[in-house]
Amino acid sequence: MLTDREVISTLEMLKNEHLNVRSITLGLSLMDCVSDDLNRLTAKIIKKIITHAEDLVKVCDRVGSKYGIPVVNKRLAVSPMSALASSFNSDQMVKVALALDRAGEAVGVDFVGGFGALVEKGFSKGDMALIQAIPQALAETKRVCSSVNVASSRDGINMDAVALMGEIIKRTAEATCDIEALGCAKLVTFANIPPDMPFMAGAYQGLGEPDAVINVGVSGPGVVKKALDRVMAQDPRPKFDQISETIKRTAYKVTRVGELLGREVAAALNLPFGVVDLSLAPTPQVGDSVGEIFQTLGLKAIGTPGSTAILALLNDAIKKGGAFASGHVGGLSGAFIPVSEDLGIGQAVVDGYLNLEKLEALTAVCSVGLDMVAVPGDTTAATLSALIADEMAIGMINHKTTAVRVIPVPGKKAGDKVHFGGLLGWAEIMVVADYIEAAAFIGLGGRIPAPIHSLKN
Amino acid sequence: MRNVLVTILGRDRPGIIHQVSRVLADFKLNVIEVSQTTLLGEFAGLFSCTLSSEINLIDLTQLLDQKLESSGLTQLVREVGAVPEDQVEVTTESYVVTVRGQGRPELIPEISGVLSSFEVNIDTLRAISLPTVPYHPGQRIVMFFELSVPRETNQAALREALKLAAKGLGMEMSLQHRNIFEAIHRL
Repeated sequence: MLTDREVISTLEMLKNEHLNVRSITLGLSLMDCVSDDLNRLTAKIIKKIITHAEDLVKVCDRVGSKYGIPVVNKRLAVSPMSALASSFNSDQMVKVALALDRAGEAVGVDFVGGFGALVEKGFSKGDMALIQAIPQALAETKRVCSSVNVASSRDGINMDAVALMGEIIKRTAEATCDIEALGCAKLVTFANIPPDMPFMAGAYQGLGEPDAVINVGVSGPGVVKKALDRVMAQDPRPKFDQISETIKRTAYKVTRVGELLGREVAAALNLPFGVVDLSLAPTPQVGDSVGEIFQTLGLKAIGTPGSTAILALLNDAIKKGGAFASGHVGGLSGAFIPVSEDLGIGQAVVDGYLNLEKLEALTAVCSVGLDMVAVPGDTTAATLSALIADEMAIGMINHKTTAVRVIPVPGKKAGDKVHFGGLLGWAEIMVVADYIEAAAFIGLGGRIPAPIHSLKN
Repeated sequence: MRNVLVTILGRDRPGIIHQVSRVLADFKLNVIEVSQTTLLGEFAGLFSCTLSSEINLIDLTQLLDQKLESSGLTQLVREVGAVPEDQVEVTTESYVVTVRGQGRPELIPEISGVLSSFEVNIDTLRAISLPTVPYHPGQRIVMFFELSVPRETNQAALREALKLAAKGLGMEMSLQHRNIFEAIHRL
């Protein structure tokens, strides 16, 4: 028999605390679709996606309804397209992106990730063709997402790729200038990209992954905040030990939801279950914000002194609670701090508590990086590359994933507002210190060598 | 061996279990399962027992009456037969219906009526009163029904019928598989 507390608390999490499964992502290898004929390649890609994913949305909705937990997004992550379509040029790569878009539309998923490349040590011909195709591909498709891994702790930073990505981001912004540079929201530059991440825009199906696999991304900043509110209501000055325990327990509950639904969807589709990504993924609505947690814990806003310590505690406690709740964890697993997608973080920028420099400091202890950051449209490619280089260095040295999803919105200047819509939210354009020219630094090129893995300090 | 169910009702106080179990032990009844609860200060207990074939249930009932009547307890003894061999075993899944809102007399008959029309068994039914809040006059309650739903039940139709019934009552309803409650709260 269930207890009163079990029933009431579950209902509260669902009704008032925005508990949901943020994404169920079907990871699908397309390596067996390889062909030197473009039409054959795209036909095989579409056929394989439809064969494997035609029931994904239906099954996710049925399982979500069975448990009363909404599955907000259903997505596809496919093999890195630069490896699969390496014999094609940039124009042909755009055609591949269009095929992915069509296939995604046919099976009804929100996004298809994997139009990307892994170039941490250098470019193959296919890598270069794909990266050059990104601006047009993201402008001409709705669902396709692109990720480029330019650094890793094992291989160092490919500074030529960093330089190139600054230009690609600028070109993507220009190609989608009529929709607030939305193309850039579908483009992420990574260090240490995880091969099994269910979240967009970075999800892709790693080469060591099975042919097809179900990965789940949970959410739950609202649930964590309410749990901390209850602790504070009982004792206005709890110790950090108690705060950490509360976050751990809550992360456990949230992760169990993802695990239960993910396994059932995988079983219904007769696919292996991969991982639960334990991330706290916010949405741009009140009560579902990572930023609001900082206020609960006594700070004026995220960005004020003390924020890095809180984020470190939050990120670690989520991993500890979640790891116990799931058989396999993976992906990014931690706290996201996407500026436009989180009401509390976005407001902290507007109120002047959070600037780009503090945001970068926070990325050293969060699970992603500079995420959904809108910057002035006239920010130079070299400055964007320099931002990427800094972020990649944090990831490389700290053996963690870092990423840059930055949006230079054409025609907008610092302090202007930009609305992306839906889960992508809105943001104030942040100030970028680009009066100090970065072109000479970025122009150096080459690679920053892999770091030494001993003598840690 | 025979199975009997002994039901005891009365004002809750220390000593009821001792008093009842003493009589049952004197009659060599072996208690194998007990379920008890209190509501509004009243005790209700169900004792599932086995007993040997020579014991006369009328004697047991009379003695229980004698021993318990002065304490204001009432009792009912019933022999429970074995499950008929031809009874078809129905495969079911466990679901929970939760109804929230202002309590009203039609609530239980309306919801249970829908469940009964779908051949759904109610395993347990509980109601919890919530603290009253401003702008929500009247007693707010959460009522939850733990159900055994036959596997072949049309889930969508059941959900729709429950939703309609709850709407008619001006209440919120959810139908969820029981595993979600256990997954979140139990190790």
